Amino acid sequence: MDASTSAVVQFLNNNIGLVAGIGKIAIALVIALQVAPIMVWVERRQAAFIQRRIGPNRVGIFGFKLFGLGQPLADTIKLLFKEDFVPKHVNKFFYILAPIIPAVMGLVAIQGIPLGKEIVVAGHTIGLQPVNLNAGFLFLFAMSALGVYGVALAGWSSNNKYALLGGLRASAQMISYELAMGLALLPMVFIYGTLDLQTMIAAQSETFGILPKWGIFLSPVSFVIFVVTMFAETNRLPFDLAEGEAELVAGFLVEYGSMRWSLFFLGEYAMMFTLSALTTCVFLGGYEIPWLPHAELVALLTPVFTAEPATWVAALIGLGVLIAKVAIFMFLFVQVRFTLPRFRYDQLMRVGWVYMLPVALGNLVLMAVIVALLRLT
Amino acid sequence: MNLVMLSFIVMGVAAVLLSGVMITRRWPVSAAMVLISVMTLLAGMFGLLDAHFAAVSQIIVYAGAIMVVFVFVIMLLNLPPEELRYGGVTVGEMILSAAGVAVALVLGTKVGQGYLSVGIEELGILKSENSLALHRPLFGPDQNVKNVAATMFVEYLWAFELISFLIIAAMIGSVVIAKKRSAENANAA
Amino acid sequence: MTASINPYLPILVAFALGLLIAGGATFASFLLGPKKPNAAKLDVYECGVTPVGTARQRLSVKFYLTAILFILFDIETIFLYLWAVLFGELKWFGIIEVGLFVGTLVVGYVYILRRGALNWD
Repeated sequence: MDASTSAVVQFLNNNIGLVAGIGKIAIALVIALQVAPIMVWVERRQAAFIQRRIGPNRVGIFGFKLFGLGQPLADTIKLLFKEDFVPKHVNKFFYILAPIIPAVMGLVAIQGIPLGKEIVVAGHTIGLQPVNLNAGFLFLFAMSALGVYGVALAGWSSNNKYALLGGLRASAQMISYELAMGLALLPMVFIYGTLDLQTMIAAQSETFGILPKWGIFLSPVSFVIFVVTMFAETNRLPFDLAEGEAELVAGFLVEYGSMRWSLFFLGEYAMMFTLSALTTCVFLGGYEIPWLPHAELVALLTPVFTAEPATWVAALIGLGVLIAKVAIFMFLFVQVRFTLPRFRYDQLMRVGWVYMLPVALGNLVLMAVIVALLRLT
Repeated sequence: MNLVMLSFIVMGVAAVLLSGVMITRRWPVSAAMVLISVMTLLAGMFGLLDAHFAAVSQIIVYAGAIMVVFVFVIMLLNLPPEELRYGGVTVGEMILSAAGVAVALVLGTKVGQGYLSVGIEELGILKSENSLALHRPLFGPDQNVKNVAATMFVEYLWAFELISFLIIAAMIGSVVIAKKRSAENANAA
Repeated sequence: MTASINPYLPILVAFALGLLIAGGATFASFLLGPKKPNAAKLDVYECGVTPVGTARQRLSVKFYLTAILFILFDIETIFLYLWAVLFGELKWFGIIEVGLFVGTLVVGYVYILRRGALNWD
């Protein structure tokens, strides 16, 4: 018993990087997998409040209703036991492959989000960003760019006119808004001088006057453009032309059912969470409590707990703060979905190419000149 | 052999095998999808070599943008394999293609030899005791993106500016081709 | 002491786990669900109306135009990211250099705008 325990400790000590790496991935995956079921329930409840209905409030566990929070679990079980049919006119291989692509990309993209600063375990400092590349958040863009193929393939392989049109429209819309999205984040890169999200968050813990030095105050236009393009990238209303129920029945989703159908939504909600978290990290100070930098938080906690557990508690608080900030965006997604009407497709493309793109470009040039004037003279 | 080396070899072998699969596909969409996975594998290999910017741009530009056009065109035309025929190539087309390849080779070699490059001392940018010309990389091996940027915006300054003309030519060309029919209609009306 | 591994290995692991989860969910639903196919269920769903023609038709060239213009601006954006990272070192030299680059592209943008290539009519 004793020998085996010490062997485990030995192994952990030697391979702490590997173990911590897998642990971080697991945490991020669990978060990404929870987003879809919980958000579906939140969405239905919030829609019910907006429309003066009650919404799902019955399903509970062992007699405890908890505002209907058993609903996500019941939904998952129902989806698992639904008939898994493959229509005979589809291209079978791509029909099965298509839903897997957005789901995988959503689950991988979330790995680029810093879930906290760092924890110290037995003298080892472990950064809490599962994937930390020198290319920084461009990794998120890369993953979101690959997500387009799920939609395009679903439309094509379904061999259905509505599905094909929906898939093509969705992919054309996603690529169009990707441009404005990339250009909107550019000023933030040269303001902070880095692509690394951890460095950006650290820079935002400073203050000027009473305001925290958040990206939203440094470049508000970027923030607005980014949030709008975020809605378009995730195919949410008012940009959900691809799924327009009235004209395209459900677009690229029309021939899908059961688990395949829900994999699209798993990917969509995971991507919503990831992009909201990216916005939080770039514009709203990430996991940090406003006016309280991470180092000060750890210093505050150290007398209460001891040195190492203090970093663990700080990491937990940070994760809570990050999720709270992301939750604001999630509520915004739902609120917008049930208050704004859908665009027409030509208006959508016009907004993307004729308004968002030049505004993002103009903002970029303006910010470059302002930052250069402030810093270089 | 460590984990990085092992994954590099596995990915390399997979990329070569998948390229073979790609050229033997009957349906264009299948070929395009296999090509995308090959490009993703290549990006992973760049990444394992610590070329972070090449890895990310391989996915964003090649797998994420250029392949979208391939897939769109395939889906727009919707040709079944039976209708895909290879037309004969005329002598003129062959000469033009050969000339294009020759120009690309000459230009590529020239730029590679530093034909368009600018010395850092000449411009006085990024002045430091260990300048780019003497010491590569300038920013240390963990700063891959900055190193690529320094090479591109200082050494290959003229090549970079020329790219904008290439892009504008492509823009005009694609608009002219795609809008031909509607312009003719407008003239007729 | 900082514990670190090659940053690409986590991506590989996450990719594998993601494939496992997504593929596993599909397979579980295949195993657990009932199988009661019938002709109407397996047919093309176009609002219950009998489908006319096939879905394999040619579509508008506008999608192609959107995609190709996207490539060109995407390349521009990725170059600008390089410049933004080195903004502090390149100073005004970089701004002028990128200004010329973007200026040329703005001419192209104005051209496609005037030609009506962005009008989705």
